Amino acid sequence: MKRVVLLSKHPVIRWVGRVARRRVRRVALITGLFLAWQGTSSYLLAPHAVTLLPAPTSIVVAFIDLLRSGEIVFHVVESLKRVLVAFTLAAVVGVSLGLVMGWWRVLGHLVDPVVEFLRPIPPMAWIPLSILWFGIGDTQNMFIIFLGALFPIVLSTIAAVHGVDRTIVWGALTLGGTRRQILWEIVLPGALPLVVTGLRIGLGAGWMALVAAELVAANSGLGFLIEDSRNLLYTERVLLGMVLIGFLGLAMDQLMRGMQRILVPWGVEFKR
Amino acid sequence: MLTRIARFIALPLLLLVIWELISGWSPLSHALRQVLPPPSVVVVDAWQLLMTGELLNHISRSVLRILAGLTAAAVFGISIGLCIGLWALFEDAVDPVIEFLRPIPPPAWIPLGILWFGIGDAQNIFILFLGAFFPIVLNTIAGVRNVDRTLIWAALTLGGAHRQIVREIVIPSAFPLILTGLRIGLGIGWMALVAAELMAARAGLGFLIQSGRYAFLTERVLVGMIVIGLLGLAMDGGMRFLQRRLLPWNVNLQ
Repeated sequence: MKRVVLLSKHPVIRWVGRVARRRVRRVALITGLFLAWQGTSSYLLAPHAVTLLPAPTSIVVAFIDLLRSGEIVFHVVESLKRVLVAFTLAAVVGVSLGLVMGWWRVLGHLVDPVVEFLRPIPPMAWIPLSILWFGIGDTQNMFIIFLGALFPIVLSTIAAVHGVDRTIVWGALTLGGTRRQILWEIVLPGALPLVVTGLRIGLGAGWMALVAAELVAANSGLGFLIEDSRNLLYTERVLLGMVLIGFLGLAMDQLMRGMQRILVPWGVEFKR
Repeated sequence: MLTRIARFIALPLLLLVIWELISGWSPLSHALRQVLPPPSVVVVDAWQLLMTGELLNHISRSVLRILAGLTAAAVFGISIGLCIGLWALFEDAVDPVIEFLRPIPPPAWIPLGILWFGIGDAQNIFILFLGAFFPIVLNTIAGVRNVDRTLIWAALTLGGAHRQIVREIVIPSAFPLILTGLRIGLGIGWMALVAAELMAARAGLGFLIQSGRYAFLTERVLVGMIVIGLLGLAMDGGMRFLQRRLLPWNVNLQ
């Protein structure tokens, strides 16, 4: 007797169907929202209201325009340049400060109150003071990114040094290891995963701070682009700038995650 | 104990004295007046702001915005988070929208917020809402996901209804993470609010420091920054207290 198997009940077909249904469900709402937005802006809203909510297609048009004129590339490069310089500085200062504070307890106890006093002041609250200090432009922007990135990096590094497994340190001491050997061969590799996590969080915080700094005090960069476009009522450019800021932030975060996997394969923390 | 206190205040005290001497009593003091006024001037200005009631006015405006924005973010964030965590269809539909919006930092919404709501409370609350919303949603989802499966199976075995399981198992065990989300959301929302008030407000602590800058009153900027830091610290402390009070069985302080 031959068993009849309906093709639609075949496990592979059913699996494909399940995946496809899931895909459809995942894109349904977001596509619907975009279509509704497009329809509202093109057909329902009065012209002055469209100024406040331009259709997705006009954002694409603005993207092509600004790409042709080279403005997008210019602003992106300016922002990235600031982030790169300030983040590198924050990484060097933050990791060394954190290592020193974590390694020498007494020094840690001394410097800790100063860090704890400055830390609750959000980087954005430094913007007016830094404009008084540095004026408008690169130095001010980089100062704000530096502050935004510094504290997560310092705190993670201290926590990383304190979190190194004591038994390994004691083991090394028992076997006659010197302080220098313990620092280089146990503390640093043991602390590295959390340090890299701190760098990732610092980069995210720095990016957020950069946008705020560029809104208030810059003549270039993505934050400037959206604030300038707001003044000119180019809302489609504001929206475009926001999407680009989000996309670049995401890309940098992915880059850091990739580096984390390559640099510290022994201690990857998958945290969303 | 005494040495610990001494160690704690040694460096801050030393830095304050050096700052006071350099920008108050040295030949440089005149040049530094605008850049970094000495602590004594800052204290005097703080006292004046307090006496005229100006400082309290700005604080209360900021705090009212926080209350409004955080309440809205909590209501939307927790309910959307619970729906996403409990209901696969809802998750598939809404998750892509959240993942699309989440990477945009709250300060990047400020220009659009100004276009939509103008300058003032509505715009400020909108930005704070955006800052607080995402941590609350994500932590609520994580809270629902973390619920011990055995408890749910046990309840099902004992004939528990879906509604009972949600009410008596899922929500209580998700509660610690929801509170953590509220605490993180409050912190990020506070940061976002300061940025929003810098750009678009006529009252509030962010406005205070921005107007101090325009008037070249550096001491007022410093007073504002310190108050912003203290208020942030106080709110975080309040949330931690709430966490300990409401969840004595789960002191999750990180």
